[in-house]
Amino acid sequence: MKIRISREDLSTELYKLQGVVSQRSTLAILSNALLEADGDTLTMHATDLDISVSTSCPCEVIESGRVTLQAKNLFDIVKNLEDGEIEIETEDNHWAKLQSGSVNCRIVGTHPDDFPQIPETTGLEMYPIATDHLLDMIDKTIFSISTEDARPNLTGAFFKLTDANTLLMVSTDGHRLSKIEANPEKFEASGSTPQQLRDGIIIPRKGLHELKRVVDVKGAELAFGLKDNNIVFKHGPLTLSVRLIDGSFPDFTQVLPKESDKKALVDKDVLQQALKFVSLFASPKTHNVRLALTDEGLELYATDPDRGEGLKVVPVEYTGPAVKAGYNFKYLLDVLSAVDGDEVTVEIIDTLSPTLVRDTTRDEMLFVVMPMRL
Amino acid sequence: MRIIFHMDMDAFYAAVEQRDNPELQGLPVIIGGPSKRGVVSTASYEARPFGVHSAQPMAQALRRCPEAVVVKPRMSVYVEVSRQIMEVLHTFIPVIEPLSLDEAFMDMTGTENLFGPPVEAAMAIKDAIRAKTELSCSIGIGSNKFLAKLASDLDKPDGITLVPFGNEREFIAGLPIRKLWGVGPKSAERLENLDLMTIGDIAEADISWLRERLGKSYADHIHALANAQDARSVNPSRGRKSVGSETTLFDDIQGVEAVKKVFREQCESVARSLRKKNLRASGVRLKVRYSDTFKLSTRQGPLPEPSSDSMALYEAGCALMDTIDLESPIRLVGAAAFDLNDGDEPAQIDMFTTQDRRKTETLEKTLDAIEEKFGRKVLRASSVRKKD
Repeated sequence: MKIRISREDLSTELYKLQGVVSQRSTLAILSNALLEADGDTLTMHATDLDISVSTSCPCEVIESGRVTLQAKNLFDIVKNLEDGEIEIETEDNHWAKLQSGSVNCRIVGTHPDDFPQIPETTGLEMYPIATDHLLDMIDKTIFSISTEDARPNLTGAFFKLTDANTLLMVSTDGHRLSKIEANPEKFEASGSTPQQLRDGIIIPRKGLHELKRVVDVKGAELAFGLKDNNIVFKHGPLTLSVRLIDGSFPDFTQVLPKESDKKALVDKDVLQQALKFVSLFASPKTHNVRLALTDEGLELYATDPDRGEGLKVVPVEYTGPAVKAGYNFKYLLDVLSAVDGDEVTVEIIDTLSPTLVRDTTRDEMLFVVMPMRL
Repeated sequence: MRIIFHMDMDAFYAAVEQRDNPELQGLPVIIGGPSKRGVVSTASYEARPFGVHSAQPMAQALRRCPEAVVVKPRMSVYVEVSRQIMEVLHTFIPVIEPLSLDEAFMDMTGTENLFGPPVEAAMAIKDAIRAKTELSCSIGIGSNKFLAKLASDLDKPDGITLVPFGNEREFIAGLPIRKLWGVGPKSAERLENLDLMTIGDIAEADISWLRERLGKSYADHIHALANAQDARSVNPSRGRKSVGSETTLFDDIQGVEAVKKVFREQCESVARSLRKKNLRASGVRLKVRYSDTFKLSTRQGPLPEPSSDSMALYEAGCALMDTIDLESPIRLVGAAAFDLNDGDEPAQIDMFTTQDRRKTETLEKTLDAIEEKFGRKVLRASSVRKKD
């Protein structure tokens, strides 16, 4: 293989592989990127066996071929070159010779045949979706995905095409739940929509995180498709395949609280600041803050033997009975940062029941936070 | 200034055996598994001059001291004696941090008016332990935990050592580096290669020179200790990290169902201990020992929410069973709860745990109360009750 390529183009595309290549994998080859030159394109692949990224950019192919190089190293080298043309040529021992301006280097490589198979996605039926809409759905749910391997089915977001042909994304770690049901622009369900999507799939957190990292909101169109047990995203030259999580997502509809008359209307920023203030007195172990709701206001209170106690009352619009419950304040802050509007409604039913938080400007989403037993 | 005591029982397991079996008194006694593959867990003072010490392979110990009497450990007895000892310590001071069955830190700051000068207080503690258990211990006294622990080892058995307040650095300067907390044989060798032989050598070494050679955090750690500085406080809650129960079975068992049955009983017992101590666990551990290889295998995982209910422990434990070999013959099954919180601390509620499940905790508490009144095993969950 021998190519001539712009440093900037190569650097931009190599960046997209970095989240997937692992430094510590037991399989050394997984820290590598496979580079393939053919026609007038350089295609690059990286995989951790669960997530695969492929991307490409135009280049001058003097001799087509393949090479496998340590992905992070290569990216660091290319990043540190001055702008201009780079020439890469493979050597007999699978190493690569890189020349650019006054720089000459030889980079260790391994046999390209050792690189794992990348899922083939050409010809796959793809469903376009507005990039900003999908990213918004991810932003509203990604923070409540479980990080606990003991419940693998909760370590991803549940993604489903509903009977009403809307797209639903739900995540929960058992302590809180986020749900958004949207009608994203450009997305259209049809008779050919795979049953798998109608049943619902679980997309692992890392896959969503990678998608967020590599997708450019202002860039090319985004589309997704399903192949075997993978969800495939395509975005310009980029293809991201994410292996779905096996298992079934719990029936969350059971735990969603019914709308009640105990709805309190609060200014989001005021509540956020009050939580941050009172949390200075919360136990660093439990993060517990108690919320007490009366028609006088919402009282936030935290105490810890090593810190003392702190209390703040914020104004609310509330007509229901007096009620209180304790929460991990971090969960409440996570929800508030996901809210777009200026006001939220908080529905505390009792000390043990799920508490509902909603953005007053966006009916299509809701957040549930479980209290702490006091 | 703080006054910290470190109480360390003398050859604890061996001393308990010699107390309970007078014919062992004066003989070299080694506590450990009878198999030649085992290791020494404790050697009596009679065995130590032969070069027998704990953690040594049993075969080597017996080569050095062929006449030693090897006694199989009776953990349940040691646990009970340990409980008595800690109870005695609690009659002196509430701030106790047990390190193991036979060691504890006590923060004795400000007790002079109650118990007199530190050495007198230490004598009173030793007398009280001897009166209750007929066993001896050594006590180290210092202005921090490190000094107290180091001191308790300087005059063993049956000694009291006080690191003079105000002259701590000088007192420890001449001691070998191995006496520093966190310096094992490997790191000792490394330090000796740098010509650091005594604690004083490290105290006087230039800190940036040390950091370059040992890495920042380790250098800072031993440099502080060598200068007799240790800010860690005596932490009573650190004492207990897990609550466990295990049985060596009369007959080997095999298969998931058989293991589940024993594990269920262990969970009952663990949950009962948790409730008795007003603790809740957030994690459960399953432990099995295989008959053929004697190897121990463990798996652990989180509970959906902190609990002291046996079913919650059991179900979380069963979820771990498909990742462990249960088909080979098994001679021991154990359960342990870890990640312990005070039962009065706020506990995060799990969305998918039903209210019914929470009721079993209340139910089990009620059963505890009944058992307390009418004795053990009057009432048990039907899955645990043995067939007559």
